[in-house]
Amino acid sequence: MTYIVEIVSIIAGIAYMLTGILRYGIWKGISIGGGFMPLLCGGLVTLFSVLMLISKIKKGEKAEKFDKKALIPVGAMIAILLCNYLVSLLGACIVVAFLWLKFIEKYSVRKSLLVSVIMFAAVYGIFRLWLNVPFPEGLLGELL
Amino acid sequence: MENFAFLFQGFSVALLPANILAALAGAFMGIVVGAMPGIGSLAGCSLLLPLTFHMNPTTGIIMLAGIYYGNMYGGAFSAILLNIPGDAPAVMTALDGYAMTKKGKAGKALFAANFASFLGGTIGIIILTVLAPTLAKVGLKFGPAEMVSLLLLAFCSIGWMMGEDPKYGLISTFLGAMLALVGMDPVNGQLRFTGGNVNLYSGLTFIPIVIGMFGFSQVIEMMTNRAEFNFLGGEKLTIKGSLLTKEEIKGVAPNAVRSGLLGCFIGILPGAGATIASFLCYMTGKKVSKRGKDFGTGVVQGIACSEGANNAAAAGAFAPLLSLGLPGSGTAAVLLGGLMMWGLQPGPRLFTEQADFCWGLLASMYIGNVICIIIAIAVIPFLTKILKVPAGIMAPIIMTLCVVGAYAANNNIFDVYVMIIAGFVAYFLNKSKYPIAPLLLAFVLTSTLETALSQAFKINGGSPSIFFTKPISLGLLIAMLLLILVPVIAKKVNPKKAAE
Amino acid sequence: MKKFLALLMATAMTLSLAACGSGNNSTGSGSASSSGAETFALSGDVEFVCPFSAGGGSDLYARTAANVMGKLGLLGNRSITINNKTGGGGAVGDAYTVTKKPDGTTITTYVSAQITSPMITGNGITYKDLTPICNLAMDEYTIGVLSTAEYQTVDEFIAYAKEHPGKITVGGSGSGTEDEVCTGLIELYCGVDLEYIAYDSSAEVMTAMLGGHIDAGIYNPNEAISQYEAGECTLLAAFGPERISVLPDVPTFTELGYKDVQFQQFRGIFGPGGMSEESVDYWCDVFSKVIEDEDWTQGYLANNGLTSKFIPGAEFSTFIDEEAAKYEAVLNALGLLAQ
Repeated sequence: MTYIVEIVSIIAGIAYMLTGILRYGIWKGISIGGGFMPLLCGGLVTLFSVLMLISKIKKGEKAEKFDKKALIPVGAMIAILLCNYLVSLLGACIVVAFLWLKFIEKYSVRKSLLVSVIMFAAVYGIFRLWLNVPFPEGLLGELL
Repeated sequence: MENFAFLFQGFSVALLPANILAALAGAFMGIVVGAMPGIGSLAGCSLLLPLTFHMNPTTGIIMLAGIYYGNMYGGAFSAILLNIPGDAPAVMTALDGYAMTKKGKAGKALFAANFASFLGGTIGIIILTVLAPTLAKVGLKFGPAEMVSLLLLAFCSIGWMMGEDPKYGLISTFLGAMLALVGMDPVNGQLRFTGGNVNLYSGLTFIPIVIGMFGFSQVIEMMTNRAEFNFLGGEKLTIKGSLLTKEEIKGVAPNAVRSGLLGCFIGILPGAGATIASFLCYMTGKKVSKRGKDFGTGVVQGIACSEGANNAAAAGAFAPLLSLGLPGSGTAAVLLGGLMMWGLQPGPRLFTEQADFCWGLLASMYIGNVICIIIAIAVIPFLTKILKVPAGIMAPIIMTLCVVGAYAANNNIFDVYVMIIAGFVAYFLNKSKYPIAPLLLAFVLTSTLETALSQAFKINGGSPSIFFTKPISLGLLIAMLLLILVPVIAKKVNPKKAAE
Repeated sequence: MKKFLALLMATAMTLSLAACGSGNNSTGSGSASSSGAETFALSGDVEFVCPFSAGGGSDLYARTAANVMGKLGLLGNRSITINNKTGGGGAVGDAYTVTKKPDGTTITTYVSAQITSPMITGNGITYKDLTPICNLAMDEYTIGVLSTAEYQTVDEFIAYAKEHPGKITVGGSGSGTEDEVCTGLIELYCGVDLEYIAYDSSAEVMTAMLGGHIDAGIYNPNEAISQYEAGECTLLAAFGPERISVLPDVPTFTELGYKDVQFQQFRGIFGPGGMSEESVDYWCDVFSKVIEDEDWTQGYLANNGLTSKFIPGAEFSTFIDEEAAKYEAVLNALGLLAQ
């Protein structure tokens, strides 16, 4: 886990350099081609990441352990995206927010419901009614 | 002198009660919309513009000025209170602003931001009043070679000056540049790194990334590190406790004024705009200011630099708009559309042929700025109430705002996916001590850099000599070299002093 | 002081609410029903997709049309909402429109960029996947140079370009766009070698030209007219078949003898693939009324230097086929076509 950012950066940097040179071409006519910037940026990322990796290994740095709780918000987001297809995007937000308040934060049903309904009303009022943002309506919207 | 007569005439019209009311309404709505994550000043202005179409021209223009300034002020609010910058220029405000909120000084941060915005905006407008036509002509001399050098200087300074080791900032910067390369090549029109996904053809959108990297990653942080968010749900912030002390005003004023002057000039440059202004001024402040070392830990000086600069740049963008009829930023282009509805014929002859109109507009900008600071200060007590909400309730609310804001940027569910991934990635970057701001700024500026680089080569027939033969460009490149070399040499010559 | 502030806030809020109300009405529905196609009725509110961002050319086009529909009450009790689905040079919006039901409740703005985008990328929704409804207007293009340049007519410009092959820089907005196609047409049919330089917007092209960084630029009339009238720039010629109404002194390439250098950008309306003839007729009927309104002719067309050109239904379909063939030929010659 300690070196994850550097390792991913090096892989991405090399991939950018290779694609830049081989597929997009670094020079075209009298000016830069599509591959010039990928080569430049990929190259610099790779260079600095290698340097960083070396200095980190020398220092023997250890990152803090990955906290599994970090997956809760990500899971909630995936739940919103799945519910979006059934009960519309704003509907999904209110459902997930309610479940979050009830089961993760352990608030009472009444309080959870109150908070999610007020939040829904505010968001719906500002974004949907005032600013006219057309949110996806899901299967529920189709039926209504 | 004639100019000032026109200006006073403009004031007398702008100060009619109906017009003041329009400015109030415009400023209020501008602040609300500007503070919404995902909307930002460009979209905010285009959404609110139609409201003015039903009014008489003078009132309409005054309301427009209110909306424009309100948007600028509003962008700082969500950056400070929720750590979700409304648009790119507010990214630098979030660094110190949210750090202050975490220390329980949200009220002070908001006051400092508003005070600096006001100073920066006022300086910008004064420069505009006196020098607009001259400055716009100077801006024209700024070609692609100069732009490339300015951006290289900017890239190096962001990378170099953030994080405890320059490598952190530099890796973050160029990762941001790599993300910006996804999508259609702005020069040759070929698709890069899209994997055949239609949603990626025009590249990743900035707003979902910034919402994810600041807002959503913070929700994750709230779950894993709840103790750090104890400031939420605490005691009520009083207005008295939020007022700036004399010392803090002394910290804000000089930084805001310096950034205002510098920011206004950067705002005039075609296509450069408020983003470059806000972070170059922040970096300058970090170097020059007495408390430079503490920038990023929550000091009013940092907020002053960023906010002073971006408001001055917003005024600076008007110089080419009014004197040449060329909008210097996206928001200015939308505003130009609105002004043309009122019979403004933009162009080189505007100041001579429609002087009363121009000066009336400038007068309404003064009024807009004053009204905005009044409203902004009036809403601070309400806004800081947000912080009384405990972290447990705040987390799902911010999460919903992230989803809605990311979606509203393009009305596209794909951007919500981008936001989630960006947030998760930012969580890892934070854990490994990488700063996020350089990544975002590089993301915004990379396409300008690539376009300008290609233009410079084409104009010069394929030779890079253009970067060294143009004096402004050469000067910027030398400044960049000094920036990189001076700390290295200082370390060699006097290792002890550099280490301090 | 506190009371005064509270009062201020209250006033501001009331005013903002009132203003919002009026703002919504303008894009909303009218009460009187006056549509002519009796055989067809909308089954719901209308979604007007605009695949480009708010504040751009297509957005202005869509918003003006929707406002006129609301003002005249052309849609009966149905409302029309604009949905900016931006990205991919129109590809994202088209990919969205194609998934909608072809029952007439979804329409989209359509410009030539949406035809050329899939040709250049080799991917995405082509015009054949959608139903052409009608064309409303044509965007004009001109080529401009500094008024201090040593070439002030098309012939002088071409002679100069022949003396300096590959050295003349022409700016335009975007890569693979109409502006590049215009430059390509001059190269192809006047036998010169120009260097096209892509900028982010037309305002930047004009800025670069006035600053002396590039030799010429491709402009829409409204982007160049103020500089032209102020004598800062000379417009050499227009690309359309006839002179532009707002620029009566600028000749066309056609009348100067360069017959093949001819280009206009169409601005039309499309719907999802497989729309019924009745629904297409319904929308043609609605739009035929829109284009007669003063807000459209004066407020939109004249102010932006567009030429009115209404082409309904089946004719529009043939027109699109011809346009697509033309684009394909030019893009191929420029080496921009996807492999």
